[in-house]
Amino acid sequence: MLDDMGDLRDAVVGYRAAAIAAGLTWSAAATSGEPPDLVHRLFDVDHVAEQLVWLQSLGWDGRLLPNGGYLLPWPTAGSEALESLAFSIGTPFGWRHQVPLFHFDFLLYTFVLAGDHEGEIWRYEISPDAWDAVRAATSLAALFRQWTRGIAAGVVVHRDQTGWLQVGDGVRRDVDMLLERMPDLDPLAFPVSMPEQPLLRARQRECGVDTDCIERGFECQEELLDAIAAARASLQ
Amino acid sequence: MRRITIWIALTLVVVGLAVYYQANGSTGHGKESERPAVAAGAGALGSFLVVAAAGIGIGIVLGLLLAILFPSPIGIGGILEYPIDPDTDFDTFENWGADEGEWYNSLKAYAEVIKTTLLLKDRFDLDFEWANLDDSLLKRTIDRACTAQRGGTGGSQGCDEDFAVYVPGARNYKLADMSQTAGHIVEAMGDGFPQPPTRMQWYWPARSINGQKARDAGHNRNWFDTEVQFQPNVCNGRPPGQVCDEFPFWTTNQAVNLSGLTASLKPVPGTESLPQATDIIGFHNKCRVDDNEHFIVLPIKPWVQANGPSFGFRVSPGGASVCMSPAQP
Repeated sequence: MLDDMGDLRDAVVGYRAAAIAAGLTWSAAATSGEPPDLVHRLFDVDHVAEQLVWLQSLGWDGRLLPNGGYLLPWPTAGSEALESLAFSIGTPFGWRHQVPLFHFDFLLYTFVLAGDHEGEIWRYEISPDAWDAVRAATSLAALFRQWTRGIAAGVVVHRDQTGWLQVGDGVRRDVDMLLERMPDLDPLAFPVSMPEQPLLRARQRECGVDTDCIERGFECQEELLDAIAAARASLQ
Repeated sequence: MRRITIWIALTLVVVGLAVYYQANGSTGHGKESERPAVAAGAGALGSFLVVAAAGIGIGIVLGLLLAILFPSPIGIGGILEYPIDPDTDFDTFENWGADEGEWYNSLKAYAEVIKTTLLLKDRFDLDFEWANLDDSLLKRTIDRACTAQRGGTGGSQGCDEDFAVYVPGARNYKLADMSQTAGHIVEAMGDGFPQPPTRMQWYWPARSINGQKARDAGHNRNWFDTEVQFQPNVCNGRPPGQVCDEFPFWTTNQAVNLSGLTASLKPVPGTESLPQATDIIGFHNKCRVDDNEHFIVLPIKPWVQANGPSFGFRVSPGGASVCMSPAQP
């Protein structure tokens, strides 16, 4: 879903204020935000939503998101943006119609660029066996609101050791803390690994993920790798 | 059995020498040869028995000394000492079963590494040779890995049969760059000399799907950032674009600190995390490594330095064969 721009601005401002109040040092240098033409070709789309352009224009350049996540810049020539989609198997939209948006060490969040799912935020783990592509939030604003709530609830806190916001208290498992806060918090909005959780599989079914592909796992990923290689070759 | 054979041989040598000198002593002096024949014969028989007894006694002493100095059977102490090298024609090599076949599976692993690297060297036009020191290090690493496989912590033991081996490369099997990640594995294993030595067990992890072993132990996926007990560490404060690589892998029974040792950490480029994950899942699936099944991780420093790609193979009773082959260039 594409957010109303005013709604999105409010959500982002709210997150920024909560993060700074929690102790995070904010770092940004505004840019035009306009995507290079390469983005249209790489992801095979004829337009890029203004919500995404606006977010990119904020020029966030540090680890400003929970668990040290950061905003990925627009892909450039020679980047491996397409290749980084290799673990997003079974999505209910064309695998190529999503742009990597936030990076969290072992998790990638993407923004869906086209079709019925345009504006949704999807996530998947860069890890063997997980096969956990799933919707993280229905929109950018919904995602930032979840994170703001996480800070308010004390589930997301600032850690001096790392210098960024962290999910969990450092003693108990992060996913357990999130599950306890349902339904106020949606655990899948937070960059926490949970491939073993029934919640994840239920959400995949709810979002229209191809569960047959998930069952086939590696085989399905090999097909996606081949598709990525073919797409890359067609761009040469 | 081998020790007894050597002891008997030594005893016979001593007895033989004693008899030889006795015989020389009987015929070598003119005055003695002039004695009456019967007396000389009786004397010679008596001397022979005495000397033979002394020889047996010396043999026993030598045997005991042998047993004290070499408590294990004398023979080949690992494939490091085996008469085999990269120039060996493995198709015609006939000495596989020496030393009662103790090193048979280790040798199969060695031969497969040599054959595969030389094949890939040509295919990818790599600047790579098996120098003597590198060859020794490979043999030593296989010895250590096989010892770890047998549950040993020192010395050298030959490998058991039927296991998969993952050889990490500077590029994954799809040829995507993961050079710093592979370099980290090499470093974590002390460039072939694990430090502390107990890291030797890291050559022989077991697959744990989704890192379930670590999750069951209460660890977060990003334990190096979040868990108080592991702070501070080298990954703290890494800049955007860097991720924290861990070895042993998260998806093994040795993740985090499950091996009794905290995993080695190193910040590496974020672009390498996907190639590495692809490599591991490719190895597990193509080489049919099931959940809880052990496998060998065999980091080879010169192979990584030469930008060689990852590969995997399986040693089975019938031989050894590549199960994860790098993509065509």
